[in-house]
Amino acid sequence: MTVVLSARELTRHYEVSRGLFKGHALVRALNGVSFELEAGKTLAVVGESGCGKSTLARALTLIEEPSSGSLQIAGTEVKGADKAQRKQLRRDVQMVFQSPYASLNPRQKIGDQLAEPLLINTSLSKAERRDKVQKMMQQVGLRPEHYQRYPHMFSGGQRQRIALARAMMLQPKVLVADEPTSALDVSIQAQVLNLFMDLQKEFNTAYVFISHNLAVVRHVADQVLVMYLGRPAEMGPKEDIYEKPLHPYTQALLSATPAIHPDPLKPKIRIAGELPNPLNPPDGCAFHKRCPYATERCGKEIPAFRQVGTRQVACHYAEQFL
Amino acid sequence: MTNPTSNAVTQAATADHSQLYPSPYKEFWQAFSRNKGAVAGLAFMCLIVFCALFAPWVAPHNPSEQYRDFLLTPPVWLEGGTWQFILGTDELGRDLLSRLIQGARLSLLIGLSSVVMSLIPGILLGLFAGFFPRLLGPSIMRLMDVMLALPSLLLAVAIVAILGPGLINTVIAIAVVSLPSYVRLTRAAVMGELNRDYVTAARLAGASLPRLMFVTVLPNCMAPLIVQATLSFSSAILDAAALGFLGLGVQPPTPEWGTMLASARDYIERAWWVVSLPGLTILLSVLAINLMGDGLRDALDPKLKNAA
Repeated sequence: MTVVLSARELTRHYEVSRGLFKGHALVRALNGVSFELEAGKTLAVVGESGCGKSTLARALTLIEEPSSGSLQIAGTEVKGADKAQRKQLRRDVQMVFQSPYASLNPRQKIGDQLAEPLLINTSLSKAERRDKVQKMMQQVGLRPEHYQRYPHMFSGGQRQRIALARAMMLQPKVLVADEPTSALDVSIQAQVLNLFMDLQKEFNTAYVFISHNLAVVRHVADQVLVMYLGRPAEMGPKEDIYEKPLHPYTQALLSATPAIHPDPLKPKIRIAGELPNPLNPPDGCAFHKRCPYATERCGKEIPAFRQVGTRQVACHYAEQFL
Repeated sequence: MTNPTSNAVTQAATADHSQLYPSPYKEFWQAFSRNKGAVAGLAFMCLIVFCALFAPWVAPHNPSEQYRDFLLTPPVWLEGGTWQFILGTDELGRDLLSRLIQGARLSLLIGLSSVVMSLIPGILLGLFAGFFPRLLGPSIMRLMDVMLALPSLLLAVAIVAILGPGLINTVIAIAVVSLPSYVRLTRAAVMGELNRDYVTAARLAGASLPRLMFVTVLPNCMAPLIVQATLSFSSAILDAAALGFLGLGVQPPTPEWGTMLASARDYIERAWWVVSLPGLTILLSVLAINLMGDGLRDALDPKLKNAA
């Protein structure tokens, strides 16, 4: 298997003005994230709001430059890529957005929107473009006459399928999906998720699937990356993480997932408090103020993101949960 | 115009749904003709434009000729009117109908050209101000604020005073005065649209800056601009009249609706038609243009079209 996406110590910092005469504050929205992703696999990124999931998506899709760290897409380093390489990189990473209502241009016909990536990036003729668009539309379950309709004539699920078709038009190597099903009806979610997986099989695309819905993640993911306040908390194969979460934050997240038949033996872990202010993160482990197992050491020393068994965990006491 | 609804129905039934777009002009016309007010406005404007283009042949008299025996003759349907001067004559005995027809040339020219001359630079400046909010944006907007801070007529007078009186300079002055509203409208709309995901999606597809500006963002900002353009058409005609009244616009013997209105106000009690008829003409053409503008805006908005 070939690695198509590799991030090393990726960071993204924002300078925030605190008002006149006060100087700037630094928000570390993304603070050292590393992972590798193989073609045809799915990495799910989970975490609560404000943990840096969307910043990661924006960095991976080249919408924003990372502040530091290295990002390689299909073997090409993003930083320092020349113009021709950048153009190729653009084609290799595409994105599906959260809201299907905002991600389609209301004044452009579906056919034109789907053909736009081809128009910009390839030298295909008009007829060839139309053939490709029609073929893709068929693959995502749209009828040929939808070609000349406007986005407002479609339902949310259909629109998300159109958005997915547009992202797949150039057959990218990496597809970043930022909560693609959270705006959809539950009944439509499964349908769209299955379409995601079918297309992945067909084009062997690597997915970075950002979600806060752990049930969805369980359905689609191969690898799971749990993030907390811009840092990775735990990363590993889906089965291991769902079976036996090692990081206390992952444990809390999983225990918060609603279930139809809750296991009475499993204690509910409640975490108190809120996500700390990213302008002023706590010393030591970012989670220690909310962690039920926190010790003195957690407040002083930042835990390293280290290998424990099959996965990587950022907790001083990860071995004890094994 | 045949019945547009039945037309559309038969077309939908016979057209091949799948492959080809219907011609964009045909589609536009179908959407436009659904709006009866817009079609009426278009018909009236066609009439006015026809009169303006063929004024020397349509007008019954020479607009500058003074019939000294017929000073302030009332229109034909009033007592004392004659068929020789259907809409009556003004204080110098000139035929009103001929002057209105001849005046359509200048008034339409002033209205249209000043709208175009402020719309195009206004959209461009607004797009740049919206796309570059750090450097270019503030400087453009402060410049527009300075222009907005001056009373518009005073600014126009100052511009004409610098450039010298005359038709083209009047148009330039009016265009400059109405520029800030276009820039502000465009910038506000652009800034709202730029944050939306479909713009990011177009960027991800590799769209260049001109493509982002004109293909992706601008069509979504057109609705307020069309309304503003139709409204400022009327104010352009009236501003031109004000400048003409001050002796800075179109020079007297040339007929022009605004100037006709301004110069005849002394006779409003004795001969109402000399004032009212140019005023009515301005009113009707402005109404027609506003109706057309509304129809245009709706026809260009896919949400208001029926399913294809």
